[in-house]
Amino acid sequence: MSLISYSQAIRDALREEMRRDPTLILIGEDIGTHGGAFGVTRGLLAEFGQARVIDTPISEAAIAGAAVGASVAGLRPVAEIMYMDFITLAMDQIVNQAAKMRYMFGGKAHVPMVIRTPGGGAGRGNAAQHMQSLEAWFCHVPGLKVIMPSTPHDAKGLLKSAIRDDNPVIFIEHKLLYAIKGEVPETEYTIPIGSADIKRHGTDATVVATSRMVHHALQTAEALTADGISIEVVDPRTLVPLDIELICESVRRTHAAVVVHEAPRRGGYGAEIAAQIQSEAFDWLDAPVGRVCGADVPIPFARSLEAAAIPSPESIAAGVRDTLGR
Amino acid sequence: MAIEVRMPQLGLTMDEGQIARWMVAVGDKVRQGQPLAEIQTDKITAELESPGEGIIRHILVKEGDSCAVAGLVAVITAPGEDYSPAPAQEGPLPPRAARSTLATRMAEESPSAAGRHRASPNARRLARNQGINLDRIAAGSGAGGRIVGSDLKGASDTPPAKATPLARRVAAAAGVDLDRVPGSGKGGQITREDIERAQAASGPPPFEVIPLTGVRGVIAARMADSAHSAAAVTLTTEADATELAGLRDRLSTRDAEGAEARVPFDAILVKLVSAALRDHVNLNARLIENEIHVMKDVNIAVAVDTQRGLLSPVVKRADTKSILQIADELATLVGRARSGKSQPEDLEGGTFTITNLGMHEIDAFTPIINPPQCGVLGVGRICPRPVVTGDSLAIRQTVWLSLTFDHRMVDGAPAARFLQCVKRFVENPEEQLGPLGKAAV
Repeated sequence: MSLISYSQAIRDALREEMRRDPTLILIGEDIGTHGGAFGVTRGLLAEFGQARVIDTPISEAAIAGAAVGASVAGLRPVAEIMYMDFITLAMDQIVNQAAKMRYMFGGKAHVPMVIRTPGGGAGRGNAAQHMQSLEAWFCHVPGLKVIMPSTPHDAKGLLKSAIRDDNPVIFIEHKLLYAIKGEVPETEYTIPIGSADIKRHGTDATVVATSRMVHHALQTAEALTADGISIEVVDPRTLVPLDIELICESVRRTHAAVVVHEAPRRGGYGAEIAAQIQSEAFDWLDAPVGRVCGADVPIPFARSLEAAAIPSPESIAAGVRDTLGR
Repeated sequence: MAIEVRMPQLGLTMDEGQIARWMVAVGDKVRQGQPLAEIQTDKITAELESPGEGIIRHILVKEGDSCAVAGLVAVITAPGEDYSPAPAQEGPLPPRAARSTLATRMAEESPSAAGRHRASPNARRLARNQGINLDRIAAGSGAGGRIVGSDLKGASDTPPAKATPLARRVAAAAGVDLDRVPGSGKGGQITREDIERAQAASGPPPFEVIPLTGVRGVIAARMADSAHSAAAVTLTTEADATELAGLRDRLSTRDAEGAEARVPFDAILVKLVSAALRDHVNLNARLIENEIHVMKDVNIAVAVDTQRGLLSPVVKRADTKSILQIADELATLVGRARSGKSQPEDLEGGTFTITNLGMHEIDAFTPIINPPQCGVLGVGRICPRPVVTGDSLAIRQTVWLSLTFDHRMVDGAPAARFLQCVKRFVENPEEQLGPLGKAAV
């Protein structure tokens, strides 16, 4: 095991996969010379050259479109969209082309591409157009897989699986997680897409949290032990496909569930998770499934309002207490 | 491979059944089709047959206890096959709204139900599996006082006495310990009467207790429902029954020994009333929630006094049958009702009821509507009475007819016209309807 950052875990995954597979290319804005807006691809241009680490003009549609074309033509591209907010410009390529081709060509074409993009990030003061969490849009599109890792270990293992997958995968990173460090095996490993992970065991309530909210939930769990409330923290890790079996296995033990994400509550993926919990584990629930989510507002620029617009360890604790009535 | 024996559904409206008597015991060898138990429903008694061959390993519902339809009542295994530990008795299936019986509807509407505790799905599941009555749990510890799973811990270890909410209140006021009171209610539930009996326990009670269960319970619930909900109005009229008596004599036959087979007045009345209902369809109706259902078939229920209480077997589509057909059918239905062997369908589907107390020297009475039907015709005794014809007195056979109808469904004048029509048919049966005994009219 070695202690490395989330961004290094992603870089290591890219490097190892590029060494393993000569058809793998990287494509995106400022990923070569500059090493990426968040430094994730730093050093890869030097090792693999311009043919495989491709800087593009500022056009998200071109990045996604080139990735779709390259993947259909036999390459295995990993595209980077600098901020998830900018992915709106690539939606037609992702939704109407990447997600559909394998189906519409009856399996004769496949689209083994990954789009890496950092979402969320409230806390950086980047305001409404640079901090959104848009994962629910992609979860809603059949034909896409959606991954949202919360730790260096999960990011590396899941990115390798995403790259090796023959379908388009939206791989959502988090700006405020790039610097966190975690234990990562030095030997080769992958994490299967569609497997959730229990980040902390507990008995009184299951908190299903994604991405950075996993870390908030772990802080909440620590704080609530003082009051004798024991929380189990489940990280779905991949939203599509969702490991509802593990989530419900946990809920059947704790009899309560609270879903947490940074994205706005309305139409958020937490609603889907809550709905699946109630249909799969209704008879084990002691309370309605709680949701602690972002506010239904554009992320404010003012720091005080920004802090109020996304879940905190304290608001998660309040949500758990509401659900438990304690 | 163990065989699960489950409570059968013996009629469309059956939600639960009571094991009246086990005919086998644990350890008995049974063969397929062998009667295992007697099942008592609201109205009938039936035998539960073994679905397969083997040894009775577990009996999960005690004699006298009830169980939901499809609930597990016993387990049969092959000889020597291990099947342990004993499975917990399964709770009632989720009730199907469309099938709520009158009794359950009334229970839901009763004041005690109004303050029903909120309980989580998890608590309800545990309560169902462990046979815990959620009413027993004073307050839940979940959000907003919701009963949650952990509130049930311990509740199943020492099951406290089952008692009705009213009995609890009375017991608390009188300081009676529920655990010392034997229950006489459904499934051994303690009722208010049990508490009162326990209070006066210094000597034997000065009365005999008949629990309000089975047929008696259904009658009580239905009659109370009728009295509380129907806007009942009774109309009476005296009809000349001389022709009717004559018709009855003509239809009656004698066998080789000269014994007379008399067609009962009821059979003739069923025919006449069903013909009148054809002309007055508004009386052939049911009130279901906010709708009046004017029924297409005329199915006449006939009140029958049995040892188990009042039953009303139904002559289906009586208007299409001859009096002799009706008489035959009625004899079969009444025979089954009196011997407690009514089939569920015997008692279902009535659209109008006839009740006759003439044999008990009753002249006239105010019958009570059998909900959800609209009307009931009470028939008094047929006997000679003085009648004014023109300017003189004559002695004629007459009968008092009493029609009780639900004014919510039909007004007084149309109801009166219907009764007038019945009277006309009674006074001139064949003139009005042709040769009634011979063929369908």
